[in-house]
Amino acid sequence: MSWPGQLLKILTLHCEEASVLASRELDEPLGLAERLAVRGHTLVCRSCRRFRRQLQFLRAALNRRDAAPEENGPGHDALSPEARARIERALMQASRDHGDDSPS
Amino acid sequence: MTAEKSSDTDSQEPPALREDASAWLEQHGDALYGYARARAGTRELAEDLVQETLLAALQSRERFASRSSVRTWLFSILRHKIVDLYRRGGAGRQLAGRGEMLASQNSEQVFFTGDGFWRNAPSSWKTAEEALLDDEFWSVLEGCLGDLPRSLAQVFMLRELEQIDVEELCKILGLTPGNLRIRLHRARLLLRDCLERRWFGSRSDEAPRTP
Repeated sequence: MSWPGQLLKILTLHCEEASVLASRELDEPLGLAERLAVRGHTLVCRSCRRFRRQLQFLRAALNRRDAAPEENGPGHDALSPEARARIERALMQASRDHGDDSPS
Repeated sequence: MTAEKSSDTDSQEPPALREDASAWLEQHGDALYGYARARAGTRELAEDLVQETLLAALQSRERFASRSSVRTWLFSILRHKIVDLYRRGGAGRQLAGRGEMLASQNSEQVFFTGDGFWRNAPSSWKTAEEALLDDEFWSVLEGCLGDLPRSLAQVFMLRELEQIDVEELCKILGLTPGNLRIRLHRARLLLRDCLERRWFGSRSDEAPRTP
């Protein structure tokens, strides 16, 4: 895009485009004009300022989701004894099959 | 369980193999499960993922030339399994994305007017930091992720939870960068809106909740 075109974009950005940029900046680096556009727009537009902040919050929340227990109660983040035993059996079975080609 | 376990232990097994696999389960099973559980919708699916991961590890054991730690290696196998699962569109309703939200085609028109203004302006999320400490918030978030249309949940989860960069994601899913951007934007619009409706909306205008 030409510089006048970019300048025009900075000055005439609508909320929908601003929201696209607020999403894109979480995935890839924006160009200078785009950075200026989203910054300028969010400076004057409260809704888009909130939207942008909320997307960043959403990302932070999802990053913490790993550490957050989803259900109450002990043992939620650990394998249950039943599952552990079942997996153990599957592994034994597999290592037995796997070992067939090498005579013991 | 212990009785069963010992009866399984017959002398024909190559001991090294069995010991490796058991040690992996013993030492890394819970960590693998926790990781899988945060990504798979159900306990069963998470357990299956752990089992598949360890079985795959057993099979490709020779190729693991201790270039990395066992844990790193096991997690990389698990990650591949999860990416695969998302790429294949998930197993039934077990992954996020039951698609109960509106069809994805028109979400821009739902959120924006023809000339690009918000139809419903985002409200202030005053309690955002507290929400992260609230168990109820996390189940609302789960619900919202679960209600995303399948095609959007797929890209969103791979991007946000597996943290795959956009270039690689395009390759994995066979999407153009433009298409990927649109899907991520729609997923975020829908999720934000869902959280506002189900969580923040009811909390921003009213007095703080009483216990």
